[in-house]
Amino acid sequence: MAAAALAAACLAAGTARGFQAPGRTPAPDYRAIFGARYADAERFLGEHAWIVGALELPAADAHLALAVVFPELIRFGAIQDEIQMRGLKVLYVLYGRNHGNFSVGRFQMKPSFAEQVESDYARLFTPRERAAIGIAAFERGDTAALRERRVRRLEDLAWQVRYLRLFVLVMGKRYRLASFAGPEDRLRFYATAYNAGYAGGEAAIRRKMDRRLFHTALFQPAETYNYADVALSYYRSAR
Amino acid sequence: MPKARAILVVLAVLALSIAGVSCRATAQEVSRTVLSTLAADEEPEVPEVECRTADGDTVLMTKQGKGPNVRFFVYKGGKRHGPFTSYNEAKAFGCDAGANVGGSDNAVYEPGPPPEGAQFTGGAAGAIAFKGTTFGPHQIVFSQTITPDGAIAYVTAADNDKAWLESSDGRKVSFRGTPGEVKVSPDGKSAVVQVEGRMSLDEMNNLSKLTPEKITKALEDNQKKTLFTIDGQVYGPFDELDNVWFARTSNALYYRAGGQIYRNGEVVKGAESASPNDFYPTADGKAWAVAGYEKLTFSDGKEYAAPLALAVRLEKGRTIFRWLALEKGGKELVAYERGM
Repeated sequence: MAAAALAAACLAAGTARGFQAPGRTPAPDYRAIFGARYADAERFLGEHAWIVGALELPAADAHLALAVVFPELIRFGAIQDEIQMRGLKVLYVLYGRNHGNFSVGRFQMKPSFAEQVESDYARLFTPRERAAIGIAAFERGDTAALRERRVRRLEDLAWQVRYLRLFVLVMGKRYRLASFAGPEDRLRFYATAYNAGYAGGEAAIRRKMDRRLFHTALFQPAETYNYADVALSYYRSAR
Repeated sequence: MPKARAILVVLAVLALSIAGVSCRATAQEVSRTVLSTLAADEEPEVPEVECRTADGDTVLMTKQGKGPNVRFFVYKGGKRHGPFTSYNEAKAFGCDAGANVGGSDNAVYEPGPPPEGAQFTGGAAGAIAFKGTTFGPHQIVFSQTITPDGAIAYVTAADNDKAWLESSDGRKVSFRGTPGEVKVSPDGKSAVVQVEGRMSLDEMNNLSKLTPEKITKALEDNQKKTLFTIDGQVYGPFDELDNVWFARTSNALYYRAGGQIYRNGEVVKGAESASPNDFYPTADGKAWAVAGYEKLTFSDGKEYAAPLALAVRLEKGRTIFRWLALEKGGKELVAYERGM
């Protein structure tokens, strides 16, 4: 038991200092791999410094939130000229998420993600907490009109920032008992949850943390990367 | 966010020369053609990319079945083709070589880059020049814009006492405040600048000399936005100005303020909830259509199923819409054409 605790402590200390966890290969140089797209994503955050304030989160959580979406900024910059969403949006609005679940906007948020966040926000936060947060509970139901309003919100960057803020707050509630081996482990956990879905529970998220599914092509190429590692790359550089 | 593109595989779209649309719709007339009734297990899914053939047609793909039994079909030229056993095989059939990948025709005009060689040059005493026209010299040059045909250039700049929007054909307007983004009309002859506040450079530099009350008032005024066109029209100031744009189908200036859409300063009635990206006015502004995600609405009150893909073109002064929609609970594929 003592040895295990010591190993965990060493692992936590090592991870917190930015060392690679045992069994993981050194992280690639994502700045070099994604090149101009990486720089574009950094520039976007620099030109939209208001996002940090709009998140209304403690500084450490705002830093985490930006890192969580940073890989999506890279991807959006790579595909924005080629994506066409009308058909997908129409299918989602008319027939629901089973007929159209797609990524929207700078933070590449899916309607199903927004639905989950809206539902958890209503379920996990008291009216008093929501009043303090300053975002009212979302309308409930699954009508075409409600789905269209959700899509319109996702098209608006200011609303994407609000959803990102709510995601961090919801994660704090849902996984308040989860133990993290330092801030970087927490960042990787949150980033994976954002990218692969957060509702499946801690074990499911941790199982996905080392998957290499991230890419910037419209369709999956041979070379893919680990989403959480790309997020971590920005997290470290933006300290 | 999770990427399930591997299973998204119906490249939907509208064949612009859909064979079934045999009669050309005239203004106000609508042609409606049922292209196909989808099979019970055939799903109208669309991926994030729309494919158009080299001659401008768009193509619809559907997916039928699951797992190893999945099959793909292509709706092209008004006919159903297939089955294809893989997405790539269907896409290769659906999209001609050199096909463009891109979106439906956007309602908002987005100017392309100027032709190669069309550029500003340095002028005397720090001024800049375009095709023999000199701009300035000014204290600050905020923006330089050249129209896609390379014919006209626009510059925003400021001196100590006032700011400017100038064009290379000799038009010039001045104002106080900080010039922001410049929008240019599809024909390149109109331009508008969105200006924040009302302070000149001098006034901003000497703000500390004002009384606290005047500073507060000046900063409040600085939140307001005003539009100045190159032809001298002024709209605003606005406490809230949500969007400013030129529609692809019109050279009139549109903006949204206070929950209303305006055309050259006049309210467009009935289009309050429209997003600029969905709003298609005629050139004269007398009619419009809003392509939402629930329905396609025309200013004459007619409503249709929302277009999965939409093609809009100008033809002899009319605006022609062609679109593909799903009806009967998503099982009937219908092609429409309507003039406006």
